[in-house]
This record gives sequence, structure tokens and C-alpha cells, in this order.
Amino acid sequence: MSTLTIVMIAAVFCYPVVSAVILKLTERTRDELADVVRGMLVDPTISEEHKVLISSMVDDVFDWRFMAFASVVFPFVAISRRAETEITPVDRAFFKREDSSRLVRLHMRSVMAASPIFTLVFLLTSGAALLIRFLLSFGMVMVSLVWADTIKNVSPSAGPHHLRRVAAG
Amino acid sequence: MLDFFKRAGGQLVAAICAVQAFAWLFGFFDELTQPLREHRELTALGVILYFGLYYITYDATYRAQKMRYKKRLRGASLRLPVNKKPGAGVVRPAKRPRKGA
Repeated sequence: MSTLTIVMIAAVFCYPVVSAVILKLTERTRDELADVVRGMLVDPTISEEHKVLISSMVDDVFDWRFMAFASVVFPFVAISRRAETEITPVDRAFFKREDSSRLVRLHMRSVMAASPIFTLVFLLTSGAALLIRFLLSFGMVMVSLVWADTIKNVSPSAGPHHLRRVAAG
Repeated sequence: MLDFFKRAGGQLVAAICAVQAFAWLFGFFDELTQPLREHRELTALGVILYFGLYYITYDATYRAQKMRYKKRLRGASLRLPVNKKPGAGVVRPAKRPRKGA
């Protein structure tokens, strides 16, 4: 039996123990999340639609499937830039609030604690997606900069002469 | 009990699928599955042991933590998520049974 197989079998048996320890260690995060949720649900400045969203976030905390889906959905959202176009200004204003961003952070930590294996998968897929996005945007910036430098060098010698010839002709 | 098997079994199957997908992607699929295929009885025993270990360690913690979380949330005015499917929540009359059925 190869070392890889032994490591994998050991990992399978260690997984429930590690998950239980992580779940126990993150109980304060969930307590904090529950307190934030309670506070936000009675806040009159928050719309009813957002209160429904907050209520649905409460149920995700122990659901291991959330991270499994998130590890597929997050990379698509990151690469396609859906978040920039699909999130309405009202949602944007809501998620900019201090309590909302705290809620999102706590939700993320709690959901990650519920499924360590899919958190690893999520980190791999979302990391790759963010890297691709960064490289694409960095690549486009580089192309623009190089092109701008090319224009600066080429235009004084090529462009004006040609235009003057066209104008004169 | 059914809930436990759904939770433990679902996680095991999903985790195996994820590991197998990575094994297939990075080319160590055969190396990983060959010993499991050769020792089927040990694999079956391992799966039973996994469920036992899962029940003793993770599931006990899970239930305790969930109870604690629910207690913490008690009294919060939670809203029911709205089903946005067209026609959801509309109660329709039951279909009449066909004649002769």
C-alpha cells in the first residue's frame, strides 16, 4: 500500500475528529452571529427583504452543502464579475453597513467551520479563480500601458506626418 | 437516525467524490483506488468504522452545538424565506379521480 493511500485513509478517519474540534472551537463565532442576527432583525432601518435574507443565512450555519455549492458558484461569480453588475445599489448600501459586513464575515467563518473538506476545495477553486481574474485584469492593464508607451514613441514620428500629408493632399 | 445517515453518508460520498476528482485530475486515481478494490472486506469495515467514529465524535458535537445555537437564537423574529417560483404557495383543488379508477 502506497504512502498516499495510507495518508488518505488516515485523513478519512481523522476528518470527523478534526471537524468536531473545529465545530467546538468556533462556537463563539456562531454565538456572535446569533447576536448580530437578533439585533439586525429588530432594526427598523433594515428593509423586510433584507430581513428575509438574514433569516435564511441563519439556517446555513450547520449546512455542509453550502460550502460544496459555494466552491462551484464563487469562482463563476468571481470570474464573470456578476457581483459588480447584479448587486443593486440598495443591496450595495446594505452590505456596506458595519453590522452587515460583520454578519457576512461571521457567516463565512461559521459556514466554513461546518465543512472543512469543502472549505479546502473552496480555497483551491476560489483562489484559482481570483488569480485568473487578477492576471486577466493585470494583463489588460499591462497591454494598455505597453500600448500607451508604443503610442508615445510611434505617434510623433509616424502619425502627424501622415495626417499632414492627408490634409495637404 | 435517518438524518444522521443522510448527514454522515452525504458528507462521506461528497468527500470521496471531491478527493477522486482531484485524484483523477492530478493522475493518482489508480494508485488511490487499487488497494481499496483489492481489499474490499477491509474497505467495507473501514466504512462501518467511519460511521461509528463520525457518530461518536462529530455528530455528538454537532447536535450539542446546534442546540446551543438554537437556544441563542430563541425569541429572534426570523422571517420565512420566500419561494420565488411562480405559483408557489398557491393551494389548488385536488384533481378529481378519473372515472373507473
